Amino acid sequence: MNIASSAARIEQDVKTDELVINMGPQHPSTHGVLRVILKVDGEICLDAQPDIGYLHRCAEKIAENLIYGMFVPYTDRMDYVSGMGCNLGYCMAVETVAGIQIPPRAEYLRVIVTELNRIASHLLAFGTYGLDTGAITPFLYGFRERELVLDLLEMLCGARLTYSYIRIGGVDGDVTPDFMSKLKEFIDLFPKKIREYNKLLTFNHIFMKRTTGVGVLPPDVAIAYGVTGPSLRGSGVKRDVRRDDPYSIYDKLEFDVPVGTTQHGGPIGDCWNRYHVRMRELEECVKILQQCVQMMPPGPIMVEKLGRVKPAAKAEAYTRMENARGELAFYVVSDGTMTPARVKVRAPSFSNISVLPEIVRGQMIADVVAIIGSLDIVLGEIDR
Amino acid sequence: MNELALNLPVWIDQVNAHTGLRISVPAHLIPILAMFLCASIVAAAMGLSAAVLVWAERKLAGHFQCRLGPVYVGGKFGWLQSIADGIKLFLKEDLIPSDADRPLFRIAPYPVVLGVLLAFIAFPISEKLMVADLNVGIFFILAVLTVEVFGVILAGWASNNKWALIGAMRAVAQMVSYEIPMGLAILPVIMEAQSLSLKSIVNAQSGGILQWYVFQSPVFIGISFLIFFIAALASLKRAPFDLPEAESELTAGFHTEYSGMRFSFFFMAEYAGMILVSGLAALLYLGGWHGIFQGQAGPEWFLLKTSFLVFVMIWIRWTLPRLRIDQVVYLGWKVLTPFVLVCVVGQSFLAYK
Amino acid sequence: MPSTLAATGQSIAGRAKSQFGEKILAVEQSPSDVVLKVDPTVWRAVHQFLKDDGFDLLHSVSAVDWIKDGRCWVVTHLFDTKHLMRISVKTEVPRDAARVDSLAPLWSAANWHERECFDLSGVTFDGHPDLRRILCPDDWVGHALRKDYKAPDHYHGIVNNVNLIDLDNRQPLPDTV
Repeated sequence: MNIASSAARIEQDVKTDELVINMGPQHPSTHGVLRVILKVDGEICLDAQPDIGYLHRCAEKIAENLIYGMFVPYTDRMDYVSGMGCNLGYCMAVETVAGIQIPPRAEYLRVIVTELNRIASHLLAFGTYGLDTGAITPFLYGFRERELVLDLLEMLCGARLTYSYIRIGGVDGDVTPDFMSKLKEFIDLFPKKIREYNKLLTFNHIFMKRTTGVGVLPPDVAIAYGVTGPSLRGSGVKRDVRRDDPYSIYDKLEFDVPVGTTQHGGPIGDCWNRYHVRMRELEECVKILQQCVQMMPPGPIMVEKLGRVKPAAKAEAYTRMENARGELAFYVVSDGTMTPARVKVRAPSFSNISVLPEIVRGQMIADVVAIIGSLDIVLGEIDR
Repeated sequence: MNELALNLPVWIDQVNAHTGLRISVPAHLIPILAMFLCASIVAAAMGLSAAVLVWAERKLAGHFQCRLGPVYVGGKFGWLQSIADGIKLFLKEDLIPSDADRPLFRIAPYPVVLGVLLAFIAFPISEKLMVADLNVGIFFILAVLTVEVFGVILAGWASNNKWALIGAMRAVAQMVSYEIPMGLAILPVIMEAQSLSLKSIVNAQSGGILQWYVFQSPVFIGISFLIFFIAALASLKRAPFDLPEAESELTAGFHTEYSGMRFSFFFMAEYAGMILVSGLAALLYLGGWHGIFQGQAGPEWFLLKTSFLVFVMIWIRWTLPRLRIDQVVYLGWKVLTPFVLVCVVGQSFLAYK
Repeated sequence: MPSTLAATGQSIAGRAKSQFGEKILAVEQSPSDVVLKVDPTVWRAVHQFLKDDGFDLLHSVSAVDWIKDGRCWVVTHLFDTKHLMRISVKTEVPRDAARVDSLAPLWSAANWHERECFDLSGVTFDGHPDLRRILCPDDWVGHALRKDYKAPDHYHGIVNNVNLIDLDNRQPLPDTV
């Protein structure tokens, strides 16, 4: 093709208004296989429509063909970054439907592993958010501590990412004395590291310029879109299921619920606030772990002689729990047989990402990446 | 290079005498032969130094991130890693996207490399070691560095890729807006040295550490040194200004569609540019090849200063997040340019003798 | 374990019953919340009533397919963020004509939840601004969570190996291990 004819074609094809770009399913910074269809005018975004479903495995259909206990490993794979939380949600739902009461030691163990997993998940969110804004080093620093958490969990149940440790009726295996001493070491070591992360990334001037005032999510818009978790708390709404609707032993534990502030010189509900809420939640997790380690009673870890769960017909339960990303809810409906009639998973990231078109209008392309990173989504639970 | 052209016939005669070969080069071709020799030496040096710099960056990056970096290829320190990477890039398939503009796609890497390669002509490593002692040395270097902009925009446009185009536009905005602070930041030095020739600028800084221009006039030339350094980082598209090739947003920006040897041209141009700009800063502000105490001089001092500045560049890259493009352009026009103008005016008062 | 806020919906359920009378078919108590069983015709009106009373967070919209009864439940779960109350609203529609009013004008969250419900369970929502598939591809045929759903053998050339397993004639599971 010579230059003259290509020049002629350019005259016809070039449109100088908006450009529709595909931030495609394979992209270094969308957290999983998410496709965002961006309409941009130069560098300013006019619209960003997320297109999900690339990881859809229809786990809810699979659940209808499996007995209740067999579905537990599938719940891990939904929000694979905080698998313990998903396990806990499902097991709580089934136990509510079937009316099973689990021993207190199992409750404490469940809370310990869920909070450890919350720390691991927030460290991953911290590291990848650094990557999104261009700082590559915090990723490695965050993962250095995440390795310690994963080693602890591996010591306990043998797996690093998809645990299936929390089972219907209790937990899988008891802790070793080794685990408790290593856990105490970790609890002593971790607050210093949180201060290190804050020095490295949180209060870094360039990072604050990238995230302050970007993607402001007003609280009423957030609630209308069903946003929950750190994204909602970053907008100033102090709602946490562990406080409002306590499950397991959270009513006995003392911890704060961090919300967004204007201390950094920017509005409540911007990306920096959502990110900072996660960093402060790391400190709260450490507090919870300390209390659990002290208060854990001896005893059995699994209900005796549970066998296969067979709840009453048309019994239903909708249990909500606070996962690392927001409120994870399981709606289990039983039809009297050993397989459920319906398991509906209400994933927090599903509602969180639906708010993207609202908060992206008028921001630049680089901000879209920062906003998606601050919402902290995992495609496994959006698509299930 | 002129000396080489003068010495070449003598050397050829010596080679003939020792080995018995009868090489005879016509007199009017001697300068051309000298040019080729110099060009190949410069290109080879540029390539080799880029390879060493890549290894150094990966090792340093590893240590900044609590890990080790390359440790397998080539023994304990992995120093053959960049050679292995070079061989890999060389052997890769030459892909051109089907709807890309083929001639422009092919041409695009060359202006980028050409800009840096030409700049090495006027670049002295020590009193005697340089290709050509131009009396407009620094002016020539800055002029020639702007050829890179053509290569970048050609690459972005010819790739037929919206992301590459956006990356190219960002790169052009960034490079062009930082040319002004960079050009203005050298004015205080030129005013002090009363010459554009790099050799005379360095010679004016002889006599110990306090004679370096940064310390001769700490306020104005010190600030212009910082501004020059920041503007050079932005001009090279190096973090925290690496938005045009921002991995997490644009999947490698303007050179997304380039692979293999074409990509390695962009790569090499960036690393050679780092050495060039650090060397320039060392020559202009830090005394070039002069040592700390009076009377010490030599290429080793120059290399030491250049490596220190390159280390600072690598350090900054692995510590700081990336600036957004409007913040980059804001910094260039509204922060650096006013400060550097103040430095120029201030230094002109001080230099008034 | 049952939720601590399970019975908080009782007062609003009483007021809804007095407002809508016969259209509220039943008020049940599940271990997690109060369930208002309503007639499909007042679906949006009941939700408007609840929203005006303070239920500002729409938690989820889901559908349960009962093939033996020939009916399909559509269930929503709501939460009041200021007064900390929960409630659930359920309606029954016939399976082959599953239509309810859309709640998208009331809560923006309903937009995506109803698209998912349509995509997977085949329930049509009247008045939804953009009712198309969200998780499955746009040219997918069938609604996956229906009990009589059979996945296609091919999709754009990809072979479905699961259809080689005969899901309907499996061995029954024993009660205890």
